[in-house]
Amino acid sequence: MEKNYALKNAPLVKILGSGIPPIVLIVALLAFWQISCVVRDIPTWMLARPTAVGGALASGFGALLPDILSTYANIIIGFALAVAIGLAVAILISSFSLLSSALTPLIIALCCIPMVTLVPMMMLVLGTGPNVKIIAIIIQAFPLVNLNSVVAFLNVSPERLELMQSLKANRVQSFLYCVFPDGIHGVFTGIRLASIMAMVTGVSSEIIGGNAGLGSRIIYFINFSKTADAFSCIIYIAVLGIIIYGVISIIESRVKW
Amino acid sequence: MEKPFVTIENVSKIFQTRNRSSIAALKDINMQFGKGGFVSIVGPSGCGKSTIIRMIDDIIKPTAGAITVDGFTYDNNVPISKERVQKMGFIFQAPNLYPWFTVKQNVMLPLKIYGKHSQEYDEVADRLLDSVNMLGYADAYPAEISGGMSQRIGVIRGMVHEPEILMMDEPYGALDESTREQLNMELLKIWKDTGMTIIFITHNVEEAVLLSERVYVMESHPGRIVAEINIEFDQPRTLGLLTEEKFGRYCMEIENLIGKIDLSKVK
Ligand SMILES: Nc1ncnc2c1ncn2[C@@H]1O[C@H](COP(=O)(O)OP(=O)(O)OP(=O)(O)O)[C@@H](O)[C@H]1O
Ligand SMILES: [Mg+2]
Repeated sequence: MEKNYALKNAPLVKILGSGIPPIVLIVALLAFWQISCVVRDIPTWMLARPTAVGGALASGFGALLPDILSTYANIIIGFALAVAIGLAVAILISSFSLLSSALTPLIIALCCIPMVTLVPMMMLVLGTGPNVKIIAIIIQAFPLVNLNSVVAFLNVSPERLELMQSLKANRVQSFLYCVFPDGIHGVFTGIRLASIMAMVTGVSSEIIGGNAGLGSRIIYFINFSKTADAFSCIIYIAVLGIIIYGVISIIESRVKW
Repeated sequence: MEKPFVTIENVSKIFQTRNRSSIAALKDINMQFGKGGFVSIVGPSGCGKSTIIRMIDDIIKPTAGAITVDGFTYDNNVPISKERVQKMGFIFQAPNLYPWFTVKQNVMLPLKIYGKHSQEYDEVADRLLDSVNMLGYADAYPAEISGGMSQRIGVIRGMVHEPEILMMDEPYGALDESTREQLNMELLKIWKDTGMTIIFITHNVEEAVLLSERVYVMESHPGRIVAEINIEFDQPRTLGLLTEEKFGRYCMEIENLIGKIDLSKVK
């Protein structure tokens, strides 16, 4: 009995359990899409049918694998670095108010400039390899982790902080035992938003330049009216998004307060 | 009279509020606490009781005046060192437990901060947990225990590093009468065993008379001391005192001191 209860509360089971209604919905939408294409006789070069996309997923996987790996690697590396940098800078900013007043406007500005507009210029200097894309992801995603974490750290509960003051805890102790755990949910909010930014920036910089990655494949397939293959690329991108979201959810579910 | 262990000299505290007005929380406070003594502070809500001990603990600074503990004087400009703070234990009005730590980790937090990790201190923590009947909950999280249980944990967290001065801010406010009496007796025993200097805040007059050797009575607007009353009963004290006539007289005296001013305010 007890075991069963524990299983029900495990995050993965929860996610799978809550996955049934959306799966039903997705299947219904796919069916509607398929039927509309058949009934209205829409040509494949305009809109691929789900069955054709399924076929492309199966037959094109081998050929797409290098692009999948390249896109996944760029986004995962860029996102991980964005989280690390965003948190590190947040710790600095929330501890030294001078740094905060110097850096915060700059970070907000970075957050507001769509990186895709800068990527073509960056490519002129750095070429079209993975570096530009990773840098673009970091610049776009880290401010979200940073700003959300800073707000969370500065809004630490005054009573909880007073205990640290009463014990004369040093900066490191007070951060580790009080400020960080108190602000952890704000940090996760930033990480979630940053993951979305990382996906968008990663794929759109592939669309802009270079010939590696799923973004550049999508453009290629559309130019040759291979809509089913283009859709298969989009599905691979969505899969990465779901994986990242799932991992963040599983980690956050371990925070019980 | 022997030289006091803790002295508060002409201390005033003015708080600046958010709308730029200021509150005179305390005005010209003078207090002395002898080593090993048990002194209570009673007074109406908002008279500045918590503010006094927060200044002794150097959580907030006095606007004027100075505090001396064990020969070291600190004030608005001079802070107190971590070494000296270790001699003090501070028990908050609210339990203030960290929800990310277990009960025992909460109790051990001061030790962690002071870098005291030995087996010996682990046993101190267990003994204290046992003394408030909470040993069975050592690995529970604060969200899993009751309000009164949290309060007991907050109390022993303040003593785990074996301080010389213990400041207690209405420690048993949320407890029922009988648990409170039981824990107060336990406190007297700890006090006798350790020889700690205890500064005890309460608005329960009977509790103050039962426990302490001396009671400071305060008034508000601005926060000040209106009387200092010696409670002359033999040690060790027992709950039997509650029925003595002299006990009732002390309570009356203090209640009158607080009540008198309340009555004039009603008009
Ligand atoms: N951080 C603060 N900022 C502004 N005013 C404060 C602050 N802390 C306390 N005060 C004011 O100082 C006065 C004394 O507060 P204090 O908490 O010491 O009262 P208290 O005697 O402990 O009351 P209670 O019995 O209700 O706990 C109050 O009028 C309160 O409004
Ligand atoms: Mg108070």
